[in-house]
Amino acid sequence: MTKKTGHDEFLIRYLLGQVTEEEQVRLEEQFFTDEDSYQQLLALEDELKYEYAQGGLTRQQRQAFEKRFLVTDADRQKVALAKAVLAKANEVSAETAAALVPARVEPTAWWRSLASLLTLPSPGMRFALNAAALLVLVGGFWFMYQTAQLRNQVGQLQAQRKSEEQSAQQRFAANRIQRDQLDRELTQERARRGELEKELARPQAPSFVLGFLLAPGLTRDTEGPKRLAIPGDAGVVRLQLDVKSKTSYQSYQAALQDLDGNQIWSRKVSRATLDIPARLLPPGDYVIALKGITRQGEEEDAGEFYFVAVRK
Amino acid sequence: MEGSPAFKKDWVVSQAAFDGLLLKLDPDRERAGERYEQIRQKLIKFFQWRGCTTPDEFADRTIDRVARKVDEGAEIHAQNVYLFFHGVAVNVLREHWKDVQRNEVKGLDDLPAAENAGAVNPIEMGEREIERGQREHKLDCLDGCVQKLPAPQLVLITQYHQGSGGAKIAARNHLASQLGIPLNALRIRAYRIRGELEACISECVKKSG
Repeated sequence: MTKKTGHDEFLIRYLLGQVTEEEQVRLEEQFFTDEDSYQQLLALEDELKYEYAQGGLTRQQRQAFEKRFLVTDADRQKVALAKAVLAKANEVSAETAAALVPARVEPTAWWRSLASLLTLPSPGMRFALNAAALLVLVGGFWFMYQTAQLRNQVGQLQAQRKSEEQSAQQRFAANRIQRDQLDRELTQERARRGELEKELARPQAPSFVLGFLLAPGLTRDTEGPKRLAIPGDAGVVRLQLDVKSKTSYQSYQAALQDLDGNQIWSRKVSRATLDIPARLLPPGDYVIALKGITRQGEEEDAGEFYFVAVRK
Repeated sequence: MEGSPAFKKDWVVSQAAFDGLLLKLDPDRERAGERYEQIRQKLIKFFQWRGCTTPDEFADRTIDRVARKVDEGAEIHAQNVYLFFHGVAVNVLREHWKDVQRNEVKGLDDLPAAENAGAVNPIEMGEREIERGQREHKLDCLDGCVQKLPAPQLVLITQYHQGSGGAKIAARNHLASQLGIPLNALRIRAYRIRGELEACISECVKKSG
């Protein structure tokens, strides 16, 4: 133990009994009245024990120390314990002393600083932090899974909606096409009807009237239904129907049909004679369904009259 | 040493004298008790540092003498109470040396350890065996106590005692400047850490004892 401060050296010499009586009394008066001085002496006395244990005293100091502080077994045990304490302290702090000494603070990388925040002295806190981190990790994965599921569902819904929209558009387009066609057909029918009405309203030209007498039903003629030869310039074909019913009808309802059942012409007449425009009778088979209307207003079948129109 | 013709007859401290002594230390009995204990510890150290092997006995003897003086009417001023005790202690010590020189009587305790070596006491041998076992147990407690020491304290105490000679002193000065404290404060800090370690070991040995 060399090169201490002058005062420290004096205190050590006092402890080892190497100062004069006068110096002793003066120092003792100081430590009896000043607590700091007394504490310094106690600390130095204890330090001497550790210095002796480490072999840090001079030979003279060791002899003085042994005479004064190594008298009893208890004293020897104290020194032995001091040696063991230092050895154990060196052993335990050998790996961590450099990190804990408040030496030069070197700049650390940001990720080291972040890692140091996660390094806690207390095992309990480390466990708690690890548990919290694990919880956050598990929660994060679950959240990601849920998000992926939801995204998948949204995608499916979007695809479904797109498909439905396309179908709707197709149906709409089809409906529009059909509607347009119906509009065209309606326009054409209206035009045709208009022409017919005009034609019918037009006074009949003093054209050639051709008359035929028709009997009801199919004739037993071997030639089949009556054949009406209609010239091309004929304006009206007058058909006189031979009604076999004995009932006296007030009036008649006549309907001209082709063999497909399509009604071509109909009229209410007062007698069983019909004037049918020749242009409505292109070559083909026809039937006139005649109904008689009684005085009471009831309709009764008055016969079906078949004929075949041919061009002359 | 007790009962030796080299010393005056022990004066038995009466309760009244003891109470009078405490009153002189401090009107408040609790504070007086604290000061009494402080004084007693300093007296023990004084006698130990003066080379006495039974410092407790000499400290009690000094206190008894002061109590008698107070009981006899001696005036003790508060700011000098420690010096008064010191003065009486020095007198007790000097009387002891004179008596020893005069009578050339040495108690067994006053002999250097080497002179005691020839006396073998079987009871002491058994006690040494017990002490050996306790020593081993102490080392086990030492492991645990050092591990429990906070890391900064462990580093301080390790660095404080590292090296030798001038390098050790320089290292201590450097350590003190790093911590921003004077060397004296660093010494006290190291002393307290060592004290905590030793107290921990004692407590551990006592618990398992």
